[in-house]
Amino acid sequence: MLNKMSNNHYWWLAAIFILILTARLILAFTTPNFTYESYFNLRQVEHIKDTGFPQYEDSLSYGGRTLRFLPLFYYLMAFLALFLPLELVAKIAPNLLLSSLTVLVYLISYKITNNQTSSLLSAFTAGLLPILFFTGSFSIEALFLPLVFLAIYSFLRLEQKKFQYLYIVTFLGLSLTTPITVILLVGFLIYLLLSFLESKKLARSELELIFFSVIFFVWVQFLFFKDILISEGISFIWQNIPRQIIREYFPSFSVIEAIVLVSIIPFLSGIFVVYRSLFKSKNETAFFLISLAISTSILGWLRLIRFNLSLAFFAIILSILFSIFYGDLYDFISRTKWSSLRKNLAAALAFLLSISTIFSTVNVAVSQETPSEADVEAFKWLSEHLPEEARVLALLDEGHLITYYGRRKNLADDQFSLIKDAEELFVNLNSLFTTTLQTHAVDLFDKYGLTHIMFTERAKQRLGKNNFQYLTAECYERLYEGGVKIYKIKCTLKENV
Amino acid sequence: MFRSDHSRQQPELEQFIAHLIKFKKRYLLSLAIIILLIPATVNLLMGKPLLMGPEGYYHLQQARELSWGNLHYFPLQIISLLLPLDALFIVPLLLAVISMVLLLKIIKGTSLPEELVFFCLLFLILSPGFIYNYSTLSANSYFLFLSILGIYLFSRKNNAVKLLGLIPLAAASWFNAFFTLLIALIFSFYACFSKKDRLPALSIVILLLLSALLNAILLGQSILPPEFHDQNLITSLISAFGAVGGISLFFLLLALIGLAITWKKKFFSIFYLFFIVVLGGYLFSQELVFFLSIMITFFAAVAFLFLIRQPWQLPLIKKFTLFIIILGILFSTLSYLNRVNLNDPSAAQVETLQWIRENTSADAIILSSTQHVDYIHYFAERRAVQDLYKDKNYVAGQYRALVGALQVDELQQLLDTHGITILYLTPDLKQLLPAGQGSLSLLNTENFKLVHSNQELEVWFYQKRAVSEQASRPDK
Repeated sequence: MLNKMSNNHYWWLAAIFILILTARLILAFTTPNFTYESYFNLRQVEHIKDTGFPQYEDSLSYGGRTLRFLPLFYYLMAFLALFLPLELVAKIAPNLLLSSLTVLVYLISYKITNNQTSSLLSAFTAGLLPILFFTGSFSIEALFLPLVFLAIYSFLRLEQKKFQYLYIVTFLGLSLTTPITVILLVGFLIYLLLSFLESKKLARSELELIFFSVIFFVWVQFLFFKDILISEGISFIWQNIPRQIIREYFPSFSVIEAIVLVSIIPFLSGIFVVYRSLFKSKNETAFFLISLAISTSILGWLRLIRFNLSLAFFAIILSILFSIFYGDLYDFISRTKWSSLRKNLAAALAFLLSISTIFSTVNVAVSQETPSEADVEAFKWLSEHLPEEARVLALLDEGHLITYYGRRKNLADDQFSLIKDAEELFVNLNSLFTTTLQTHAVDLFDKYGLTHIMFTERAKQRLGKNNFQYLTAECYERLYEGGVKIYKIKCTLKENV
Repeated sequence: MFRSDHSRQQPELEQFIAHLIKFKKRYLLSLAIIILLIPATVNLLMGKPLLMGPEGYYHLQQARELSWGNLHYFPLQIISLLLPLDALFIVPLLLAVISMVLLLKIIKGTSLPEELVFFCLLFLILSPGFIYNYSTLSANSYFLFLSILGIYLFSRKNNAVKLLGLIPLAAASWFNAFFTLLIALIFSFYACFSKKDRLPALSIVILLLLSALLNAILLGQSILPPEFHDQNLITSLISAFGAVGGISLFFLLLALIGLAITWKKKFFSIFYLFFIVVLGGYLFSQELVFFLSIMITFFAAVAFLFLIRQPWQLPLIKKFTLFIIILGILFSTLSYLNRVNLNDPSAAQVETLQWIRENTSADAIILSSTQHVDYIHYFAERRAVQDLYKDKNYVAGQYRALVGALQVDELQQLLDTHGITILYLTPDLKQLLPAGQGSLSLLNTENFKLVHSNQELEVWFYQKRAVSEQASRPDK
C-alpha cells in the first residue's frame, strides 16, 4: 500500500507520525500518574501478567464481586509488560496505538481521494484532534480506535484477498476488545439502508462480510456476557450504572463542546462534505464513512456509548472527510482567478489547522483528571499498613486506586455490572462523605463492613470540605499524617442491637 | 426453492445433508429424547422433583379438581393417578415423540421441501422453547399434540378415522379461545388448498368456532392462556435475556434474514399470516412465546438453507459464518440447558410445603411470593393470599403492601384483614423485603414464630392479635 506513495509523501507521513507520537509521549510523561479509570485496566493487566488469566472473580472490588469483560486489550498489554515495566507500557502503548491513527487515516483518505496531499492533511488533522489527547489514559479505546479504522480500511479494499483476511483478523480482534464494536455494525446497517434508499447495489462480498461480522460479534458477546444478559436483561446496555451518574457517563450532546473537542476546521469541513456527499456527489465510500458517523452519533445520542468515545470516533471520520473537502477546495480555487494560490493551499490549511487545534489539544492534555502524588502515596501506604481484610471508603473514582495501589477492598468503583443495588450503594457512598450524623455513618459502616475511611485531596476539591463531618476521637483513629486523612473506624452499632 | 449450481461445489456437505434427511426421523427423535432427558437426569442427580416450573403443578392441581370447565384434564387425571409424580416427566417426552412422528407423517404428503422440514424440526428441538415446554407439563405441548393428532386423523382416507379426529380437536379447543383460533386457521387453509376434504374441513372450522363460543359463554373460557411467568415483551422473548423458554438470539437473527428472503414469495404467505396472528397474540400474552418460537424457527430454517445453498463470493467467510451460526445455536441450547435446572421447585421447597400440609390447618392462608402459588396449591394443598380475591389489581396492591410494610401494626393489620396465618418465606420473597427494615425485621415480634426452616426457606406462624381492625376489602 505504501509503495504507491512517492518517497516524499512517505517521509511526510513518517514525520507526522513521529511528531504526534513525540508530542503525546511528552504530555503523557509530564502528566503525573494516570486517569482514574486507568487503574482498573492496570490491575487487570497485572493480574493477567501474574496468573495468565483475566480476573473475573475480584476479591477486592466492592469487597468481592464477579466481573465480565473482553480480554484482548489486557492480554496484549500483559504481553508487552513482559518486556517493560507495566506503568511504562501503560504510558507508551496507548500513545503509540493512537498515534498510528495518523497512518490509518492517511490510508483511508488516500483510498477515497487518491490524493497524497489531502490524505496527509487528514492524517495531520487526526493526529491533532483534541478529543484524542487524553494522554494519561490507559484505556481500551487506545486499541479499539486503531483496530476499528484498520477494519474500515480493509473493508474498503475487500476486492483483494489479503484484505479479506486482514478484515477477518481485525474484526476478531475488535470483537474480543470491546462491545463498542457495535458502532461498526450499526454503521454497516445504516450503510445498507442508505444504499437501499439511493437504489445502489452493494457488492455481494460486502454483504457477506457484514453478515459474518454481525453473527460473529453477537456470538462473542453472548459467550462473554451471558451472565450479565441473564441477570440484567436488556438493561445490560447501560452497564447497571446508577441513574444519578448516568448523565456523567452519557452526557447530553453539546455542539459547543463537540466543536472544541473536534476542532472547528474539521468540524465545519466535515459537515460540508457530509451535505455534499449525501445530496450531491453520492460518493459510495463517503456514504460508508457517513454511515459510520451517523451510527456513532445515534448511539451517542441514545446514550448507548460514552460521549467521549462517540465524539472521538466521529472526529476521526471528520478528519478523513477533510481530505474530500481539501480536494473540492483545491478544484474550486483552480477554477477561480486566484488559481495560483492553490500551490500553497496545503501549507496554509496545515498552518490554520495547527493554530486552531493546538491550544485545545494541549489544554485537554494538561487538564486531565489524575490523582495527585500525595493521594497516590496515601493509597500506596494502605497496602503496607492495613490488615488484608480491611475495607476502605474513598470516593467512587478512587475505588480502583484502593484496589490497585492499596491492595485492599473498596466500597465501590465505576464497574457497576452485576452489582446488586448499585444505586443504593452509590447513594450511601455519597452520604458517607456528606452526612453530619455519626449514627447514620456508623450504621452504613456496619452494613458494608467498612474498617477504614479516607479523605483525599480530590475529595477536598470535589466536596469543598476539609474532612468528614462526623469525626470524633472515640470512634476514629487517625492513621496517616499529611494532606490525605486515613482513619480507622472503632465504633459499631451492632452491640446495641 | 433453495437449489443452486453452486451446491455441486460442496459434495461432502450435500452428501451429509442428504444422509441426515434420509434418516431424519431416527436422528430427530434421538436428539429430542437426549435433549429432553438432560433436565430430568440432572434434576434426578440433584434430588429435585423431575417436573419443573409452576405450570406443570398448576395443571396437576387442575386435574385434581376436575370439572366440566376443565374436562380436557381428564387424561392427565388418569395418568397422575396411575403414575407417581416423578414418573410424570415421561408424559411431555412422549408427547414430543408422538407429535413429531405424526407431524412427519402429515408433512410427507405436502409440498414442503424435506430439507426445510428437517432443519425446521432440528432447530425447534434445539430451541429453549421446546426444551421448556417438553420437559414439564405444559398446555402448549398438550395442545400441539392434540392438534397434530386431530389433523393426522382428519387427513386419513377412512371416514370413521376422520370422525375420530374430532375428539382431539374438540379437546384442543377447550384450552382457550386463542388456541381454538389457531386450529381454526389451520383448517381454513386446509379447506382452501384441499379439493377432496374442503367441505369437512370447513365444517370443522365452523364447529371449532362454535365450540369456542360455547366455551366462552357457558364455561367462561379465557381468551388467552393463564400467566405463569413475568410478562415483558423483550425479556420474555429472548432466552439470553433470561426468558423461560424464549427464543435463541441466533434463531432471531436468522429469522430476520428468512423473513427478508421470503418476503415476496407467494408460497410463504400462509406462514406470514400465521406469524402475524401469533405475534399479535404474543403482544397480549407472553405465555404464547412458544408459538412465536415455532414461527421464528421456521423462518430461521429457511434462512439457514438459503445460506447453505447460496453461492458466496467469499467462500472462506461462508464456511466461517456457517460454523459460527452452528456454534451459536448449540451454545444457546447448552446455555439454556445449563440453567434450566435452576427452575423451582427444589427438594427443600417440596419438603417445606409438605410440612405445611401436614402441620397446619386445612383452611390456613399463606403469604408467599406469587411465583410459588402453584406449588403451594399442589404440595401444601393450601390457599395463598393471591387466591382470595378475583380482582388481580387489588391482589397485586395488597401483596405489595404486605411485602413493603415497615411498621409492625401495619403488617399485622394487613395479615388480620386477609386472615393470613402462615408466612412462607422463599429467597426471592426475602430479596423483595428491604434488608434491616420492613417485614423481615418485623417478624422478630411476639406474634410471629418461626416453626420450620429448610435451607433458605422459612415458615412462620402468625398469631392473630386479640383485637383486630378489619380494613374494608372487596368481595372475595
